[in-house]
Amino acid sequence: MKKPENKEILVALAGNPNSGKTSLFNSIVGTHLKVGNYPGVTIEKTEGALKYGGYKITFVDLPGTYSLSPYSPEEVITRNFIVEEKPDVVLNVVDGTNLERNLYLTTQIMELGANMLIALNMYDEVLQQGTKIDFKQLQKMLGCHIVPTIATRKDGLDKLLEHIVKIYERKIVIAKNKLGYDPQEKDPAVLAESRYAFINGAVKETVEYLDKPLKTLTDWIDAIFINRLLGIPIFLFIMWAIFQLTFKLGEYPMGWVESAIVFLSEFVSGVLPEGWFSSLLVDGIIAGVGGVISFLPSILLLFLGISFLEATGYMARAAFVVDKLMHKIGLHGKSFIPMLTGFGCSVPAFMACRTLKNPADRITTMLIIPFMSCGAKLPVHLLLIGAFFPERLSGNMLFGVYMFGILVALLSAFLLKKFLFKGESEPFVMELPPYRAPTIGYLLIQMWIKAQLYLKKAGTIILLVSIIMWGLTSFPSLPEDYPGEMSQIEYSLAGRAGKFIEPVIKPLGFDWKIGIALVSGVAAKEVVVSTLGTIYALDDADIEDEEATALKDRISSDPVFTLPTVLALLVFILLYVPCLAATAVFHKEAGSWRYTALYFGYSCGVAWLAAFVVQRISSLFF
Amino acid sequence: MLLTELDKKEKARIIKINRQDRAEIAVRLTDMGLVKGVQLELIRRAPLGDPLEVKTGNFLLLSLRREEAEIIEVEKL
Repeated sequence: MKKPENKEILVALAGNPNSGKTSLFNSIVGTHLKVGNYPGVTIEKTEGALKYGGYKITFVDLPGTYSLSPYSPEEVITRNFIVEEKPDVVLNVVDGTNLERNLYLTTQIMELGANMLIALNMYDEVLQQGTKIDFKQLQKMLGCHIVPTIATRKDGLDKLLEHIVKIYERKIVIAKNKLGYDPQEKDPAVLAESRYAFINGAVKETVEYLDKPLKTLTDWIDAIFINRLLGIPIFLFIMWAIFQLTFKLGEYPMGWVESAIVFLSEFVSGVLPEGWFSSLLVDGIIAGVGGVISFLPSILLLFLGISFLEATGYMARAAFVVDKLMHKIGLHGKSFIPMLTGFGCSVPAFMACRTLKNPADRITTMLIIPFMSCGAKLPVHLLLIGAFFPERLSGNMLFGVYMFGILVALLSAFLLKKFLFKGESEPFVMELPPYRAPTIGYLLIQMWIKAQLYLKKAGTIILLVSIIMWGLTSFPSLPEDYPGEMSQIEYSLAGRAGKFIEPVIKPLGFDWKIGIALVSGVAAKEVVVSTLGTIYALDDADIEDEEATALKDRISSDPVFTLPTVLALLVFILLYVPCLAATAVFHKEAGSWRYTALYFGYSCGVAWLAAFVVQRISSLFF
Repeated sequence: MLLTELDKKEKARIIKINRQDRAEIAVRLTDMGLVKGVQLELIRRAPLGDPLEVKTGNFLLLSLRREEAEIIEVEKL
């Protein structure tokens, strides 16, 4: 039974990019959506609801916009939502440290005649800067209520909800005739000037800044971090440090998980009678899924590093530092943000490309994202580097692999823009937000979410593929009286398939076993590790070796892995097509089979070519 | 003079945005608060010489490319 007072209130959150809409949304609704300290984190509108004062209040988090002119997709989404869905309240989130610029959007929401409530966010920073705001007077001039908020500390939320209900119940009346200019003005330049004139008038009367603004922490940090001489070295150092940490810190917990897996497989094969079931458990599931799980700590560390960059405000600086280079190859400094996000996972990276307005820039950036080695490729890199390189080199090797990916990506972008997707690159007017300390709780929760996703993936798709690969490598069984030398795996279905494709990958130094792993890796990159785990576990069982060993040690004793082959394999895995899930998202975002075919063919083609070159050149030296 | 001609740390006021055939950029600049009458300071150039970083108002840091800054006419303060 629906009670009569159980009414719904629809609230739209609108505001400038990086004004903290999503932080506010998370704080109110209790979600853990991704936030970041750079413009354009939210790319899709999201909904969430809560019960308050007998109402169900639904909040819609809209992508950030600087204005409502029909100039970019986000602006159209926001405008249409306000005009067509007619939300009961438009909650305009305003970055209090940037009032003039933020109020420009406010005037346009006022022009639409919406029931507006302003959340003056980041109020803590406003106070820190010594700015004084006469709320009463400003409310009068804008004709609506203003609530100071600190989204990250959940300050001012109750008051916001209270105001929303009062506006809905018509207990607060919004004055809609406060604009001192004609919003029907046809000349956009004149209209813009009158909006700013109105804003400046209001701000002058109600806001008092410190006479001499203090030198902020941001000024100090930037003086070093994006300094003309140090900017690029510091950027490289930060990336290097992240990969060092990923490797060095991840090693300890990884060792523990590995020993646990070895223990578990010895235990299981000790208790269970020998046979196909024990083989499925030990060689299929434990060797496959277990091998993948051991990389969880490293992956979390990498994600932590990327989240840290996103949360502090360094991302926009990285875009600033490399923009000239990106401009030279025909792209935009902003393209660099999705590329760095791609180090974590290609899926959000493809989606983040929506912030690029120019279609040519956007598709080019999407096509080079596969070359930014993702978190799922990390386990394969770690396995190979850990098995074949001395420990003191490992962090640097990992950094080298990723840098090689960036190089290939940049070179690719240059060629793609030059020959396939010509066109002017878009303007680069971008905000550099002040540095902000990330909230530890937020980072931890993001890690926790990532860990759950990873384990879920290990328990579903990777488990499934491991079982399938075990089946394909175990059947048909080799007859006992088989004439000649032949191992079980070579005789199996997977072995035969591997032998079939071997000619294609032979020039890279890969054998049929690597071939099987690479093909299965199209499903998900971690599967390369689990498939190798299963193949080598079965192989080991073949030799009747009593001791179970870690996969690392198993592969390093296989003669097929010469140094040139290992390097070529690292390069191939780095560059070839991301997983099926990412491919599906690419297809959805690019919206055409032609692009998806290009994406698949291009990434695999480049991977083959680069691996071939690396294998040939390194063969000369080693 | 043009915004690009400012030296590091120099302050200026915008007197005109040259809109002709750069309409899209002009709209973007307007949205970001770069309009006639606004005071700004050239903070620095990026390590490779482009883009520029300017501060407008008291705290807002914006980065824009030379080719975009070229349509902004300023007078030194």
